[in-house]
Amino acid sequence: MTSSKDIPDTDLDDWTSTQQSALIADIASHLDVDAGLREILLTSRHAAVLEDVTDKLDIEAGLSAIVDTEETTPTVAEHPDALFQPPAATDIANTVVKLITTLPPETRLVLRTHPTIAGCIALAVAHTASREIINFLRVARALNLTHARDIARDLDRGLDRGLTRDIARDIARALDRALAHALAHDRDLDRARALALDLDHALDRALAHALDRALDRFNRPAHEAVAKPLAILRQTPSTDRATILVTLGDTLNDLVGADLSGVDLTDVPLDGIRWSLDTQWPPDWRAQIERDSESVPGTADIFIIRGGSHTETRV
Amino acid sequence: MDEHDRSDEPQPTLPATHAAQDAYRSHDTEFSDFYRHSIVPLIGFLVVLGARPADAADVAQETMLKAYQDWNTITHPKAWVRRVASRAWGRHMARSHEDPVDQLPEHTSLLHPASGIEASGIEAVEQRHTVLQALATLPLRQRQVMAWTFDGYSAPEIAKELGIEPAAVRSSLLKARRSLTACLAQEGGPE
Repeated sequence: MTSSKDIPDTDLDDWTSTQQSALIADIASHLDVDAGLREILLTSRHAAVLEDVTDKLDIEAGLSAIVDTEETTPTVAEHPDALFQPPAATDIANTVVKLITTLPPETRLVLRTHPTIAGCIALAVAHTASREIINFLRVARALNLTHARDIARDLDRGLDRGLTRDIARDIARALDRALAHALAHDRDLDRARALALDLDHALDRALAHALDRALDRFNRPAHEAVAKPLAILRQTPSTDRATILVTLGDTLNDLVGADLSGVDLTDVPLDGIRWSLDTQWPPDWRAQIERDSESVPGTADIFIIRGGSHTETRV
Repeated sequence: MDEHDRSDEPQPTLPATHAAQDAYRSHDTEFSDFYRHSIVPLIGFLVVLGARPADAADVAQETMLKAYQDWNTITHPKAWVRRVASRAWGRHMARSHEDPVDQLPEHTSLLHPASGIEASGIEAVEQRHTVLQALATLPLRQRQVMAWTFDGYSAPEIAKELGIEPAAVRSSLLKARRSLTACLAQEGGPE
């Protein structure tokens, strides 16, 4: 039998290169590249038309005629200083993430399940889901449901982000069912959208109040590091607030590379935490955490904790 | 290295009204050129990662649609589509695992109608190429590194894309090459 030493590196390179070329040629023979390109250009033409039509409409005026938009259309005027220019959402998100990542991992572990913070994040997840549904209904009506399936799949992925609170999951799933019903019957899209807008407003107000409560809870010198990102979020326009809070939740769950070797994990809920091979766990916890974890798809060394007896309750 | 890589300078925003038809045409021409050059290598990249060829075609097409929509903000489209397609394939795998019923064939028009899921179509590609059978024996990280390497990326570039250290890339590459060599030797070596 031939040993691996019999094959020089150059031969391997030549062989893989030849094989790669043959593979590409074989795949190409099964494709209609022009048809694929036409599919993309045609699909995106819908978006261009929508964009064009949108430019001709005063959406806020139309929306105001239907619902009370006072709570959901925050503008510069909302800030006491009329000259205040709110920073871009990505800048705010980056600032909040940076503040959270400076917290010690044990603090992050406590925060991610603190009822006040978890409540805000759960509402934010439900709020972003309701926004997606409203957008979906708008696009579905305009495109005659052409993209319904794709967007519904995106929504499913959104729901799979690891909701920590049953109430948020229930709200989002209820919206999903209502949407499925509307789609199945290809009617009542306007009514579904009106209901979704009502719920969106309610979630927006609930989230603002939840953030106020969280600020009251943490607004003291000892908790300044937690209060600061919350204060930034409270000042953030509500159009961006929920999305950034969801990012904050993801950041709290991210313990990739963190050192938890000295942290007491007894009764700490760990479900949903992402970790990596260089995350340091207390020695007597590592085996159980490995048993309770699964790989994050598309990665080789990032894992997520799913269930496990130690994740059920926390004192 | 990448003939389609573009300047890092901010790209102009796509005009939103029909008054800028010329800008749309230029946008479409540039994207179409990229698509024609890149769709097949992108599918090959996903197949090397471990995707079934028909799934790879679907994921590549979805990725190209996103690339078209975000074209003005993408500075390195060749790397961008590989990065986005890798993640999309990961999500596709997770969905397939959770809901196998959702695997009903409904492929993009990119595939010739005869290709579908028939073994005589694009899926037969998997059986025809020894390199794919050899790659299938590697762990995911090593396949990732090989896929980027096949497409001309260096260890530091791959490290950046995968979010790992260049040394880890080199180590994975070395292990992958050793395994491939052993695998091929068992089959009589490269022809």
